Amino acid sequence: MKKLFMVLPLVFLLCFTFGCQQGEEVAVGLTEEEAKAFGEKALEMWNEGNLDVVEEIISPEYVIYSDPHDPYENQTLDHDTYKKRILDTRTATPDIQFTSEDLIIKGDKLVNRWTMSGTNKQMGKQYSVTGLTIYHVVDGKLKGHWQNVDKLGLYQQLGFTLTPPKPPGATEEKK
Amino acid sequence: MKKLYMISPLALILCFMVGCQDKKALAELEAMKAEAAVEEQNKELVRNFFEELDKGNAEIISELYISDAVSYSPSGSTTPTSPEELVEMTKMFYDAFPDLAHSIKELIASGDKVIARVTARGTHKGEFYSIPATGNKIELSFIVIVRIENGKFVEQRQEIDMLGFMQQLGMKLKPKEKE
Repeated sequence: MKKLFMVLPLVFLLCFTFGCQQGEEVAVGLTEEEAKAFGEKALEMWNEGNLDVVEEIISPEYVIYSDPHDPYENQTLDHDTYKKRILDTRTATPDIQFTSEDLIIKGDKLVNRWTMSGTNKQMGKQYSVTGLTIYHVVDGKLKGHWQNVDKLGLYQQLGFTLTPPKPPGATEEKK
Repeated sequence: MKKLYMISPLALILCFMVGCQDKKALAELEAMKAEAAVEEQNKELVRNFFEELDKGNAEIISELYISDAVSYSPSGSTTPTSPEELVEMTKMFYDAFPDLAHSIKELIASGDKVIARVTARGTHKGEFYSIPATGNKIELSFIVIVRIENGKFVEQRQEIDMLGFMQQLGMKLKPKEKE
């Protein structure tokens, strides 16, 4: 009887321990909270120019895997260069505002569909264009991105037009 | 013996509690497995979509998209494209670039959305939007988010490197002439 009394509490304890296994993440990867936090911090960097955030959320070796027409495409950026890239944008468009339209997370990828608006200082023109970015998240920091931005729309809003290639030379024989 | 009778109901209650926790965890696990299965199916639909396009089967659009599906390119466009318009545009594309081939670099599926990162390559062999054939090899990248419901595409939002594409066809950016 004594042994029963000794064993039973142990059994109950075990039941409770196994029963209370709640809130475990089964899938490895970003949580929604982490993704939202990244989003908010990123907006601070770009919209307010708060460059201290860079150390918090950006890897010291940030790879721009793909970003057509971006001056830093294919480069690996250290923190100083990453900050310069932000400053380049904010200098060209001092009132720039990024807005996230949709944020999707899966494993080590964070997808952001966004709009950027502001006034290009040099051209004195307002613009608003969209972009789609896939971020690579490693060890809790943004490690790099693949991105497509409506650059054609941007240039058109700044007053540029696309002109066709020169017509075939004067060697055309039309009779 | 008496004490055993007293303890047994308690043990039974505890076992039920633990059992119920297991059932809840099991149900959650089943739901996650079901969602993962749909996500895999959705990725396969997108893979198949690009394969069919590259075979010259533009009609895959009519099969895969619901009739009032909306397509936005660029992603914030206020004038969505209908599946019929997409079919027409696709046929024009493949007429101008007969060897057009899509290479899917990455597929991400989350819930009812699939994100595809794609590179398209082809040779400019036919007139395209008034640009006569240049013979140029083009390569352009795009990212598209497709929302899929019950195996059908219902909405898509895309960002494509139109600027690069146009420049590869010989188009040049010029500032507007000052008045």
